[in-house]
Amino acid sequence: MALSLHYLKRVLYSCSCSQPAPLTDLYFCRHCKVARCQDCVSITVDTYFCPHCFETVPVSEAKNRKNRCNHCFQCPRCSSTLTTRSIIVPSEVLAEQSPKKTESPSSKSPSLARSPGGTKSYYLSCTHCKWSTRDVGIKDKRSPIDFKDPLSPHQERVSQLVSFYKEFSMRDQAEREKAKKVGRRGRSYGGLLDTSKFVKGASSDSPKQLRRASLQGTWNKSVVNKVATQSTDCPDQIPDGFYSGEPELKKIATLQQRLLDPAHQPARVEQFTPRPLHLIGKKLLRCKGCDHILLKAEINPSSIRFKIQQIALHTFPQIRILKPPSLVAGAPCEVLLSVSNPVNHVVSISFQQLEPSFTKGGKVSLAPVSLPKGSYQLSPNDDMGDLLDDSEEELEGEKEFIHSRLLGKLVLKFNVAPEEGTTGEVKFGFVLSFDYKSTMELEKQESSCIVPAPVVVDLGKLTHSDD
Amino acid sequence: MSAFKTPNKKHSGDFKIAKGVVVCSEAELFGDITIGGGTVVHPSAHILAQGGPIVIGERNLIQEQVTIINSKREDGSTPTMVIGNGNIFEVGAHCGSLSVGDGNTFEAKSRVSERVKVTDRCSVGAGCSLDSQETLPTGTVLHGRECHRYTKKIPTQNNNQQQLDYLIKVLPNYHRLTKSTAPASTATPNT
Amino acid sequence: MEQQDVAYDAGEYIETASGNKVSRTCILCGSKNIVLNGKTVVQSACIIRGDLANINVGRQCVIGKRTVITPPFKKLSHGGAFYPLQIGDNVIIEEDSVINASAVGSYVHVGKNCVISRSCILRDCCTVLDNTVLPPETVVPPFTVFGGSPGVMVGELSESVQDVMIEATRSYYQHFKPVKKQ
Repeated sequence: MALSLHYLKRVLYSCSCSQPAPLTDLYFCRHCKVARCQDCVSITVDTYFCPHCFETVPVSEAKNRKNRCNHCFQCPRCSSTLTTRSIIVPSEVLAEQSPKKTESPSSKSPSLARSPGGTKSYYLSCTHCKWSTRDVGIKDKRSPIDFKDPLSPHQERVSQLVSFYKEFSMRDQAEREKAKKVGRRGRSYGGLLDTSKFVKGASSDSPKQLRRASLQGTWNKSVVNKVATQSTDCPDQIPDGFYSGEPELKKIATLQQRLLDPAHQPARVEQFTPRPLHLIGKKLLRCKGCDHILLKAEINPSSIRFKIQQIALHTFPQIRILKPPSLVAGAPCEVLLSVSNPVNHVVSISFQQLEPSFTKGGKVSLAPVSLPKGSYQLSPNDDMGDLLDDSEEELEGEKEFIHSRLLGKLVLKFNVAPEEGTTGEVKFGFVLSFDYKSTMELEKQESSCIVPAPVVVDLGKLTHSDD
Repeated sequence: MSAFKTPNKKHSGDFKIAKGVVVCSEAELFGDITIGGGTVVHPSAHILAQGGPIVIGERNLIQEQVTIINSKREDGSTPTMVIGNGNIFEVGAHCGSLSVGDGNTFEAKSRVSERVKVTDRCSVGAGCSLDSQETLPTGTVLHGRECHRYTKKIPTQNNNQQQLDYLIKVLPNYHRLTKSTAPASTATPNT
Repeated sequence: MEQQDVAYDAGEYIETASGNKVSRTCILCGSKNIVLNGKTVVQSACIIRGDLANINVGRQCVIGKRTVITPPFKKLSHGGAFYPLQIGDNVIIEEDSVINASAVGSYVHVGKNCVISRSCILRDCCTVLDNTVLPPETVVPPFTVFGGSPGVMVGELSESVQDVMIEATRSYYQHFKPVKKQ
């Protein structure tokens, strides 16, 4: 199916940093009055949410959970999402298994269902590869959220090392400050560079106490001894038959499966555990130039609305190729481009040649083009496109270059002369200037300015080549 | 204009369809076909016994666009294709295998060629394609585009009885059914 | 590039009062339970199973050739049932796909040869790439791109996808033109 969707990358607009991008990927800053691409915006995460259960998690809590969901799990074999299955276990069977547990009448877990026949117990199963927690011997749980990760065997060692190195860096910082104060007259601003006080550390001592201790020169020797690696004379032995035995390939985890769980890195299929699902962040985009917000989504993960949505598609006239042109090397070819107006008032546009510096990067060779002269007016956008009437308003434009005005779009004639010996796609560029009217709350008057937008159009390969 | 109406599928052949089987008349049946009780065949399924008879067991679910084909052979032999009980053929599955056991699942758009023999309680994943001369051991699971496979120690049971019961109740209200063409019974379709 | 004209045989398609264009080669079972909300194009050899449960397709959708749209079956403790399938507005489902989802949102683009298994939920403004197999009960969040087999998240969509889908579906319908064959 040939859809216009598939050709969005044919017309690329240039961002303020000269990075080409399709118009649908650009944002527009009303204050700086330029287009911004993904690299020209600073991205922060507003909130996190789980892609399966859509639970919203604030940023601070997500950090504690290591950006993972508590309820949803990923299959360790094929990385798809696991589904929770429940079975009803007769209460006599449960009583036999755990005689010490007393079943209190008011259960805190809302999902612990009790029926006269028995209690529900849960297991996880993958609908794609049919893996289940029962395959690896994980017992059915009484609550669907009990499938949490077991602690990594290295966790204790890692936190020891982290606290040691935090203390080390603080001592190092303090010594440097001391040296600066002695060395220089006047104020030293070394203390301002100390960002350690903003870091939430795992160490039990407060940063102030640590700094005081290190300044006083009382280096905590017991901590150093605890953390030092112990060497042994007898390293781990390789098991017998490691080299001679036949590897059971079906029971060995692939690299991808192993690295899905970096803390445990299961080498064998029997060691698989369900992986907690990664949270997705709702982005907040700010212009790097003026720090104003360009994009802010609603908190509800299912919502597709935005509180602030400054996308270029709503401001810049969109240029599309009307139909694939027939291109002949060395001869001028007529190319029809349609220009559509995104706003509901008349917009004037004009075209200028691209500056030579644009192509000096040596990235792309652009074919010479003769552009429509003068300025043209675009009819206001009508959202109910199907109710457009045929009557055309009096709109400016050089009739010589206007092909037609169909369905609210202006179609203009461009003349492109692909150079001889062009291999690959024929591309040409120009600068589209349009008047942008901003009505910001602070400025009570409407202000309009001309916004230039460099555009590069990819026409595809030559249809015929002159031999 | 009539060229664009839904073409009447040719129902040519000898069908032995048991009682309690729902075979929608929009499904295409060709050749010597035996279908066991409790099976449901959805519209636009194709059961083509071109190179030999097809015997389908009980309680199978054959969904839309499924092709079960016993192709014509060059050497002129007419082997019987046997499909067991309780199998599920999801939308778009293609099965050419001459021997299919019980309780298997052929997920959407899977392809199993005639060189493969499928035993019991296997699961051929969506989009998987099998074309090698082999017999799938009991409980084999295939998944993914690259057809990764492993064998489950305790194969999952296919439980499509609820769906079959529902379909047997509902489908006759909306579809004409193809009945047996055995000489003793009449060949008029049920309305 | 603008949508190019897509020609169809005038005799092959029925145009309803609300502007739906449905091919006569489609198999629409239980057509009383199938609701097309206007300006939807259903191309040749599609299969829509309204006999199993209600199917509601939104406005300005495009359903490609040979797609199969069936409602999902859910097993319950007291005997299962087929649940209604709701498809939103401005949805494009390309050729040869199988949709067994429980809900498809608006502004969704499903590629060719996809398998959307039973009880999947596709939210608004998402894309499923060609040849994807979504395992049963997968949830596709808004502004995500799913691909591969099993279908996992492979990318994110730009925020302008809603406008892009509205333009794509509207222009497809406008360029879906009948040609009288003699």
